[in-house]
Amino acid sequence: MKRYAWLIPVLLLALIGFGPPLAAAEDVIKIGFNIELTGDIPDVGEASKNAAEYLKNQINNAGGFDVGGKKYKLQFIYEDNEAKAESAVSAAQKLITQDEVLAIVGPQASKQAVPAGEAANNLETPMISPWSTNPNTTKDRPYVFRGCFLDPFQGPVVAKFVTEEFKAKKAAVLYDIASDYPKGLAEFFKAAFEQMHGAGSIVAFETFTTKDKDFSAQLTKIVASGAEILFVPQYYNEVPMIIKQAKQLGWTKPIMGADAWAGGDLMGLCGDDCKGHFFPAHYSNVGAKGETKQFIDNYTELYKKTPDDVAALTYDAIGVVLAAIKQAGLTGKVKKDRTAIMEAMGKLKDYPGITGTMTFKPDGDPIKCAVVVKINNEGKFEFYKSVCP
Amino acid sequence: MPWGGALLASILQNTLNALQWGSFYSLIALGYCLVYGVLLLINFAHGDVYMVGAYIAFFVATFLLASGGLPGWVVLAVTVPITMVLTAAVGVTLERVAYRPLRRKGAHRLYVVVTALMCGIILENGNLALLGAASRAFPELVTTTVFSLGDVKLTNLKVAVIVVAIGSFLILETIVSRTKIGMAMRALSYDRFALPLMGIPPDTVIVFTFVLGSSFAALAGLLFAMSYPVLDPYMGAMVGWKAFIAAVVGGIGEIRGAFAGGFLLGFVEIMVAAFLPSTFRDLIAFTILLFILWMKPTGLFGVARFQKI
Amino acid sequence: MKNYTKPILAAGLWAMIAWLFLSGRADGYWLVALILWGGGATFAFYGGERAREYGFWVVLGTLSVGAWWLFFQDRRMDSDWILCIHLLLGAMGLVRLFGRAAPAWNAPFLLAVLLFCLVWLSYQESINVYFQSVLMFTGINIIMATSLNLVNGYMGEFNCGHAGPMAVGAYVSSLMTVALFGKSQVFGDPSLSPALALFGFPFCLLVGMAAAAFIGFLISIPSFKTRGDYLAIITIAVSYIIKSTIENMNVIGGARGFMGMGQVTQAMDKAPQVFGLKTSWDLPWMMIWVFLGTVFSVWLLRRFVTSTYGKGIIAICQDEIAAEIMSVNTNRMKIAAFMLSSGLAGLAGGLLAHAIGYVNPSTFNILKSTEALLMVYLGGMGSLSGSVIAAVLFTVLVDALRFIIPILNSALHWAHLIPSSYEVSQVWKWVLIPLLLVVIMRWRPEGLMGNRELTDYFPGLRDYFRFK
Repeated sequence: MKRYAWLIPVLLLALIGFGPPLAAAEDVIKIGFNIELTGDIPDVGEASKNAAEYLKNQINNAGGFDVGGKKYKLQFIYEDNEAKAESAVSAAQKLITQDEVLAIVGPQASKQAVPAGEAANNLETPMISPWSTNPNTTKDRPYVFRGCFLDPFQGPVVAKFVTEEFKAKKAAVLYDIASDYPKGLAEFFKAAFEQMHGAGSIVAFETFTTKDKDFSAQLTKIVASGAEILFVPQYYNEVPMIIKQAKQLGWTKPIMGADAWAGGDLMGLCGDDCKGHFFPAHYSNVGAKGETKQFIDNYTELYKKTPDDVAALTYDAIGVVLAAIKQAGLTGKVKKDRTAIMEAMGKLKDYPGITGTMTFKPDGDPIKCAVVVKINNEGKFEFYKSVCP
Repeated sequence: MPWGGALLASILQNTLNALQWGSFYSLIALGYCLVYGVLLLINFAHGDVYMVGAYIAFFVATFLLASGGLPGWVVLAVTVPITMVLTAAVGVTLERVAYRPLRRKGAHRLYVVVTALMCGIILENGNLALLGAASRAFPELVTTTVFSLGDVKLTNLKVAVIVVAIGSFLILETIVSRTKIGMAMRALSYDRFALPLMGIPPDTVIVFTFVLGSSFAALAGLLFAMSYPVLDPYMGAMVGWKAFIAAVVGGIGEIRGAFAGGFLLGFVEIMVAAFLPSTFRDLIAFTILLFILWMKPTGLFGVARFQKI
Repeated sequence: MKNYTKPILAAGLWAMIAWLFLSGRADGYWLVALILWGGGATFAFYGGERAREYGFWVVLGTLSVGAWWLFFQDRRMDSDWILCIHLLLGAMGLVRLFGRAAPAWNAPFLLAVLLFCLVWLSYQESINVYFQSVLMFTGINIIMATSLNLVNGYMGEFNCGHAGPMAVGAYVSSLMTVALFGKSQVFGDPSLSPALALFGFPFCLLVGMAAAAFIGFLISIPSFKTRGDYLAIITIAVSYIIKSTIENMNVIGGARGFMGMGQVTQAMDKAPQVFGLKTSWDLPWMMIWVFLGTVFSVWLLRRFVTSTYGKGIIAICQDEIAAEIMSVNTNRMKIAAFMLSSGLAGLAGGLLAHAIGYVNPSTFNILKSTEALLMVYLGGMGSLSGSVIAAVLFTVLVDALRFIIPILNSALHWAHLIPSSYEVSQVWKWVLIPLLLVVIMRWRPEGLMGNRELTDYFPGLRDYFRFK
């Protein structure tokens, strides 16, 4: 011990030396991002970050964000939650207690958003998940909001759409059992479809596990089952493989997707095989007008890809947070401001987002319409039909 | 259609599916098996070497397509050797940089195994950090044609994959059992201290083993990318683990074992998903494997190593 | 130590002091304190045995006075920190002075003081919730690594499915606490008064441990015949089967996960109601439980592997047949080792589930097992203190990189080493961590500690605790 006593001062000095300098507080608004930069769905994290950076630069280059006549610079802090539940919790805690952010945007996927919402709610910090469609994310949590519609809404929308559009009486579902979002959606769809066509109308309810690449056994079963429609509530990176394999196994009937299809570069991965299929989306990036068009054009120019749903919803979620901050005003006391922001957010009326107008219900979910889009022959997501609750 | 006919078609179709899926497991398991046979090292980075192979194939193929205007099959013919050589280089680099120093220092083999695990994670995330998060679509080099035999659907790719897997197995089996270097490999696994005394440089043999294993991983990566054309940095992790399981169930260190184990795992996974509720696929598949290992504790083809007291 | 290391360290220390002064981070008293510090440390580098002792006290003394001074100056340092630093230093001093009288009580005494400090700092919010959770994850990782070390290190098997029993422990204990003390969709209203949560919690953890130990028992049966890499596959297969089973159990949430443990940990505050009191003990309970669980696991494992009975495990690692001949009942030893290891993994799982307040089967995937493996081999097979150090290092590294990577990014941009369009993002974390470990492995191919304990390297530490 004595021989190594010098280690103690060295370590302590290092702590003081490398610790954060006592910087004077500037006039900034700190917003935290708890997003999936690594892990299963890194595309989603990247899109969120891109949208956030775009919005931040836009506002900061114009001199800052105006709250009560005073200009504040925006400071965004990005934390990676590695697409893991426990990392999402520690990222949320770090943002809240270490970085002292006013509000958190994210996590995007429900697997992370549900536990992170618990942490944010317990620490009384407003959190808005732009993309998590699982009901549990906001349930009984006054501080947690979301920026999109829910699975219990989306499932019936799809069921109704396939019944009306394709006159389908028998449907098949292929989904990932180990992932929260596809599983929930598949079950809501099943319930809604069976309610319309009676028990047994779902002729194949097949599953696989995250990171599987081969779906041939399940698809063989589905092809043989005589279903008239295949519902695939999967993420953009699995969809191309499913569709291609289905085609190779002789599936010629329509395939219906879910909002996660638009989560990344679906068409770049899928090519011609995805054309002609339908899915419900949060917004359609073809034929947009006004601010939506401006966002799409600028984003495309900046990042060389069209903004997906995640980017658009993240953009809107930040917008909601900023609108609430504007309404609540800032006192400089973080805890007080957070509560004020939460209250203001709950009271927002008809916030004009680029993915549609938003008004929050008391449980933190917005009332929002879904857009059923068709993938047209140029590979664009074309508006087909709008379904409102 | 009568029920019996549908069942038969379904069985045939799923047999084909299983053969294709098992081919990938087999090809990767062969790489595990070669390295293990020689060094007793579970090269956990192998799954990621295979991922690197798929990415190299992607870049080579896109480059050739963009620059030359060559027809697809020419591109494919050029891509195969280039990919194999480049991926072999990656495998050998791993051996030189990470494993050999540890071996020289006489580390316990499990430390080398964990180093291999770390190297795999470095490859995965290094890829993510350098190339970005977007998944890549592998270009279609050969037009996929679907043949129908009644209700059974077959693609040219499927046939090619199965043929390549069987061919690779035959080549490897010949190399290991018929050639001089193969004899040296077997000798190294039999007694690694006696080998230098016989005038055979062990490092050359080891490097050759890594070249062989990695180039077949590259081949698997290329075929995989053609069959399942979405590439992402984590694609090798899961397949790698499962191929390792296949290699062990076959009897690790035995080329025939790895080959059979790969097909066995492919069959079990596909058949369970096809004829039992697919929800329970992992559950039943792994229970079957567990049962096999319980019955034959050294795998299907493995021979128990006797221990002198 | 090479003879140029000391001058470099000393020069570095003084350079840092000079930099602290020049950059305006240290002024007035701080400078004097730092120079005394540096002097004491240099003295300790170069002096003989006696001088080192004095150097030690000079350093501690300046630290103490400096901390008080800062407190009175501008309260830059929290009074709670001062209290706790002094408590710890004082406890170490007491042990140094009087410890030889009752060596068995040194470690418990120091641990109790440490626990008090942690709880006090958390209670006063001097450690924020984020650091509390990092501390809790550290403790959980320690349990995970040390328990795996029993099988992978001491017994020399290759278990790569440690996450399986963890999942069982996590689910069983969470289901129990929520069913007993919490309101949920699955079980409805609590069946016992939530005020009892504090007292029921260890019982639930024990049940979780028992369930996990049963999994260990199941794994150990094939291990009689199957060894080495074949056994590794069995462990992986078992962990897959467990994960898949949980995913298929829709009643408890399936892949969606299970939650409600948050209310149970909050209900622990209401414990005084049991005695008819109206107050609430507003303590960081999970922190206390994780601390106790960590100490319990390390203590139990240390007792086990150093006992005559437990040494049979090390004998199996050396040579199974020889051990059999020397009358070690190898089958029974294997059962014991697997059950103990899995049971403690279940404890880690239960604590993790309650610390996060949410469990999800995919938390316990192969990556979790990989992390456990990594910590064991980083620390060294068959070294408990090695596993503890590796677990601390790993957990701290994972979270420290959250802070280091942005600094690294701006430093690299400042030096124009990378193009301005490229940002070094958090993605690099999982490149840097394994890279660092590969480098450490090259430097120490036996892991950090080999199969020795910390006290073998630093005999002076025996004053404070003993590992063997």
